[in-house]
Amino acid sequence: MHNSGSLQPACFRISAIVGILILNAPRVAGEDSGYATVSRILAQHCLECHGPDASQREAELQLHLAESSTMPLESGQTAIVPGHPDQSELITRVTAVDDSRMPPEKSGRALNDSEVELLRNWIANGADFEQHWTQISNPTTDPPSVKDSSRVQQTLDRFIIAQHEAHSLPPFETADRVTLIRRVWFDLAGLPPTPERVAAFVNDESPDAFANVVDELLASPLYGQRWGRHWMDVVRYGDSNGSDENHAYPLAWHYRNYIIDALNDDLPFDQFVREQLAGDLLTDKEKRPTSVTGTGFLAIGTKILAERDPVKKQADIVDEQIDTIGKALLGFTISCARCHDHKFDPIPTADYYALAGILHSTTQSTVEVPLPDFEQETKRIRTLLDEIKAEQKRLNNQLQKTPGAVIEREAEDFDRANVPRILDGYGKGIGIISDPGGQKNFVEWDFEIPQAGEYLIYLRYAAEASRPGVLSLNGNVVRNDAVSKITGGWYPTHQQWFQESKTAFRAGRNTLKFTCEPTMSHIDRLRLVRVSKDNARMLARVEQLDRQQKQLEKQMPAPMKVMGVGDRSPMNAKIYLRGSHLDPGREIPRGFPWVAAPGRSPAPIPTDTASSTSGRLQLAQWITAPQAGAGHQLARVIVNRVWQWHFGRGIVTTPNNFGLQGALPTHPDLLNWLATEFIRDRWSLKNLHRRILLSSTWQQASVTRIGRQGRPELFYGFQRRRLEAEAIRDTLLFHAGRLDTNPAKSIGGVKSQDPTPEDLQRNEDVHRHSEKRSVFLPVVRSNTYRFFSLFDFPNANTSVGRRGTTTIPTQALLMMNDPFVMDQAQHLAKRVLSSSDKETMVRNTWLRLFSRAPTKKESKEAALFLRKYSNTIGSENTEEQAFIALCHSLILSSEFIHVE
Amino acid sequence: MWNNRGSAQVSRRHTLSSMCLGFGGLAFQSLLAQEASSVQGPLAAQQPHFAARAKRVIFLFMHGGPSHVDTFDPKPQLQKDDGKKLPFEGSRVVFANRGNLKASPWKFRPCGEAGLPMSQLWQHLPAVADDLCMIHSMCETNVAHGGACMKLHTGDEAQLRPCMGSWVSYGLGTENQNLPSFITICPTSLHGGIDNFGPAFLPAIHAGVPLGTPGYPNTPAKDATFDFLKNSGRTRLQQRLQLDLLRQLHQSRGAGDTELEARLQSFELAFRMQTAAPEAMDISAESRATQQKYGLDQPETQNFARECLLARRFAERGVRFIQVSHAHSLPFNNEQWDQHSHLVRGHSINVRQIDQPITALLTDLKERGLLDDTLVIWGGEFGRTPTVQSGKGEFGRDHHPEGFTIWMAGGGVKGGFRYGSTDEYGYYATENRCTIHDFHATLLHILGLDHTRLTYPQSGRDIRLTDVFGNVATDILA
Repeated sequence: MHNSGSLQPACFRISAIVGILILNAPRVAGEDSGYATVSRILAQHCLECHGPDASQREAELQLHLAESSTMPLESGQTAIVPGHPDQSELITRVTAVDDSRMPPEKSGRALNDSEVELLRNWIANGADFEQHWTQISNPTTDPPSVKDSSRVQQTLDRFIIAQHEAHSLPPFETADRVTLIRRVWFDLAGLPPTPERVAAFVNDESPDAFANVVDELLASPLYGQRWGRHWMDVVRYGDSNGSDENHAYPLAWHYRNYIIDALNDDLPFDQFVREQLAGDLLTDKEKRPTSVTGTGFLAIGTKILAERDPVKKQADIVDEQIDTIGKALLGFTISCARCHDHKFDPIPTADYYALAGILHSTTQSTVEVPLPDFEQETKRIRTLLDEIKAEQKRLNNQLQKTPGAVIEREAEDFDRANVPRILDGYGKGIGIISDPGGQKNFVEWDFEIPQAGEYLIYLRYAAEASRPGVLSLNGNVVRNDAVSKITGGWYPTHQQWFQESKTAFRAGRNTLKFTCEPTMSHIDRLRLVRVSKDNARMLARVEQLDRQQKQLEKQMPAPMKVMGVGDRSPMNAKIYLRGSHLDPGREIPRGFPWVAAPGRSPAPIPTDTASSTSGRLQLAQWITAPQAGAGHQLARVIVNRVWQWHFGRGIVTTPNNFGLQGALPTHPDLLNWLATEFIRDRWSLKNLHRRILLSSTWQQASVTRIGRQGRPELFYGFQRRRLEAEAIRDTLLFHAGRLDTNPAKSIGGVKSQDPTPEDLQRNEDVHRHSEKRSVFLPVVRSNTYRFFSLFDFPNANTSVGRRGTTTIPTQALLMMNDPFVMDQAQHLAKRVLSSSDKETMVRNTWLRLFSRAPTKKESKEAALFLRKYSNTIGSENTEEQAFIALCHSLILSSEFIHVE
Repeated sequence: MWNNRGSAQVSRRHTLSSMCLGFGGLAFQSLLAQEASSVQGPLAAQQPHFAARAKRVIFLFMHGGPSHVDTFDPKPQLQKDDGKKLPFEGSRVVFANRGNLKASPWKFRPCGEAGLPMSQLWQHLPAVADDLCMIHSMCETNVAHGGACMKLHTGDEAQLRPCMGSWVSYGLGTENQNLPSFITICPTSLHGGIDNFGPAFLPAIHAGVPLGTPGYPNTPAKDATFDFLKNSGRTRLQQRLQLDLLRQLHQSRGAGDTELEARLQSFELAFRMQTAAPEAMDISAESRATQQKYGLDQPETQNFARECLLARRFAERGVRFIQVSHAHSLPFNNEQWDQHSHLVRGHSINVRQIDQPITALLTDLKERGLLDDTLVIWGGEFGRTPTVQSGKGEFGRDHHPEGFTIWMAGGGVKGGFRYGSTDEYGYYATENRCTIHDFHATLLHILGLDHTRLTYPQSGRDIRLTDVFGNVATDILA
């Protein structure tokens, strides 16, 4: 299929495109189409050997292509004869009872009768090959008309209601107000509303009451914390490398906070994506100070750091990045094409290695982020320091000119010593003295002092480590820890002056001696400054300036350092045959996976490897370009995710895989329309939320709550959802009155590498005792907080599009027995206990936990429980203990853990 | 969406696991092993693909990599060429600097009727030599611990995949619905940590449940417990009152809601597990003679003895997959078997710690009639080089994934049998090379599972333990 390495990417793309532009005019695969189902049957049973993967292809038959399927094969047979299933070899083979049966018995993939029947009908009806829905380049979608428009609150409702009407479903009830406010709080903030907010909303009769709640929540920082965590699932966020050795990523949290801030700022999603792929390379016009932090996206994945084979290691890192880019941004499992052409989707291996080349040209690094605050502050301090230095220089010159005020000499012009003079390397250009290596070093200088009096002794030296010694004058120690400072290095550029002492000198010869062992800093010069009435003021000023300088240097801010990526010398990747790095094949020019942008011609990446860029910037621009690149697919993928996070179910239920093996969209027109509107809306996620939350579709009553049959695939009725792990924990802390929603600004005291059981217990305790909102707790890969992992917290090793929801007894054990849960029950109880009588206490607890008052029966059961439980306790505080147990029981209840 | 078999299985399992039923389903009435055609739920015992040779697995994991040429794979040529250069090209990728050939400091002797060679390190194990099936041609893990451990447990050193115990649980369910289907006793947190007993994308119910916090070094067996099994403040009666209140609240608001009913039942099951698990772990119920046989009374063996005895008790109660880890650290090496230096001291200590307990486990299983349908596996993530590791101190050997030995016992494998071989120095696996994928294929085959048919859909593919590889080593089957 691709035979020449010299072709430009666009060229082998053309040959691949032929693979899916099929005979008939493009048409969206809808519910009634036979091919939608047939293509899946073929994919599951046949394409492995008769599909896009050229290396595994048998009999030159490609059953995903109309042309190949309907032409006579070498054997003379024709696989598919449109209109004539009985003449079609395909039907003959899948129903054969002898050795000729397909797929071969060994594969265990035989078709069942109903699948054969579907194939037969499809062929009888003309064997209409349609394009896969993702491969239609300009899906046009107008909202359908509906019979009953009274329920249309948002345009998107038309798509949903039209389907309801088509299925003759009567309108579904609207949720009551208590359910609505509880639902929207958990949805946007991940926390329950307080009883006061519930009451305020229930009593607000203005038509904008609900819209106001939505706006208020979208403006709250809680929103970014809640929805940032959704995105963190998709980008497999973790604070350690996981897998083998599990080194900590001490700077990963910047990327987490960046995500949260970006969502709270409603950063246009296309820019959000460009920053995550190439925040370091964006044009000045688009760049924000923190753009580069976004490249944590590429850096924070799992890596086998101990892999001893560097080629394999790099290939695995790149593969992990491609896997994430494919699933998270494009909704395609591109990484399948590492070893062979994709079995089902039109992703040739060459596309994988085109993308791999870009990532091989990228390097992971710690990046300094030039925050405006930092730059301003640095500049301010630098200016002040410059002023101080200028004045110091002026004063020094003045001193030098005062006769007898300053005596200076080179250290290497000593009078007696056992240390060598170094005129090269460390002493290049200046000449220094240092130790010869491990001895009692000494050096003496004689000074002829014209007049007795006090002198300041200065030494100029360079030191990367502190090597203090004893300074004495005429045999008397003047300082025990002289020459003890660190200057940042051993070289001439690191040389600095330090005042070591203020000492009385006698007239005539004075001997200054310095001794130290076993090593000595690199001393360059000595200076004596006479303290006298004449220069007292000047010296005082010099000292003052010294102090100011030191203070200012301490104030110099450290730059923010983040985990990100940068470019390195660009290179093209070679195809690794069957994925093996030991078996490199032809070189592939860097490029993009065209599957995500059918029919578009990508912006070229300079193919010359001598040019200066990796192609990451072009990739970022291409992925987000609605017309020229994969922008429409990107929009569909994120819009589908957002829909899923609001409804618990996506329009495509496999959010990370829109390919042939993924699910078909239940409402393809809606998805395309939402994507188009989203792009038109400048990729604003907050506007998308408003659209969805203000729709009658989202505001339908809960199926389980009102006990009516729903149709999840038609979004008919709202499906109850269990809270995610973080929402459970945050809600517990919230009710306990202890939740801390301030961002965490460190990895937070956990140990990931080589942990002992004690370390792991400590990690567990860090989580257990923390009051931080869950999103701010470190995600130690391979050692996730047990509370989280038990409640289906995603495994951070790969992009997770949709979390599982299991109900297992270990969750029950945790809720019953974990001291953390019991503690929160106690805190909650204490907050409610202050209320007056038992009945009010019970009522207030219900209002807090469930946003509603208890029924009579529930009050009665609660009272009964309190009485029975009190009877089991012999000691004091029986009522309090019983009430804590009641709160704990209510936390165990299904109502606590579900949103209707 | 998926093929027929997959679709039926997956959707049923998804539904059931999302409905609950946790460690095991609805069989509250039975505490002990129960072949459960009547039992429903994601962990209900499943029919294998074909007749199984073994029903359960005990995997004795030797963390760090035991040296094959010093334990079970004698090499006369190596003894002769001590100190000489390896006469052919060594591995392309190595872990540490390697020196010349180094003879084994131990003599070997034939053991059992079959004459299986064992080095003098082993004092007890020769008694069961005729039950052991040596695979001398293991290869293709990874040269670093992390990659090798993950490859051994999950079949892949880089991508997160379900481990073999999770696959077995997924394929066969379990016989005791009140205990986990897959228990890992005193696991290490190193080199993949929980990913080595994790389910990856399989339903969470198939996760290995650690007995003892995974750690480095691992938790001493006597301190090992399951998480959240005890309540610090409430009595059983008080917890009963809580669950009764839950039932009342459920009836007032959620009556007839099967999903919520299932959740309620998971609380009931948890309540019962609080009794069933401690009972299974109570080794004071074992006779003094049994305890002594395992070596519980001696300081050097007591830890691993306890792990082995617990393994037998779990096996008896129908747990499907039990991993036992020999994964402490030694003063001179980080990982138990990782003798880069001090080979003689290290391997001597290691064998002394496990020799008697393992021998006792095998004879005990045999006496109870359990060895016939229990597959016992012994091995580490790689072997050690026949060359010396250059460096200071007492001599040691480097990591060696090119050829090493793992043995199996019970479960319908040939006893007193040697399969495959390495070259004359023990460097490369030569005859009947057994890759990790082959090993996994064979393991599943013994349990009645076809490794090409045990699949789970993920990222648009049907993923299996053996990826796209794996051949069953049929020669070892009895």
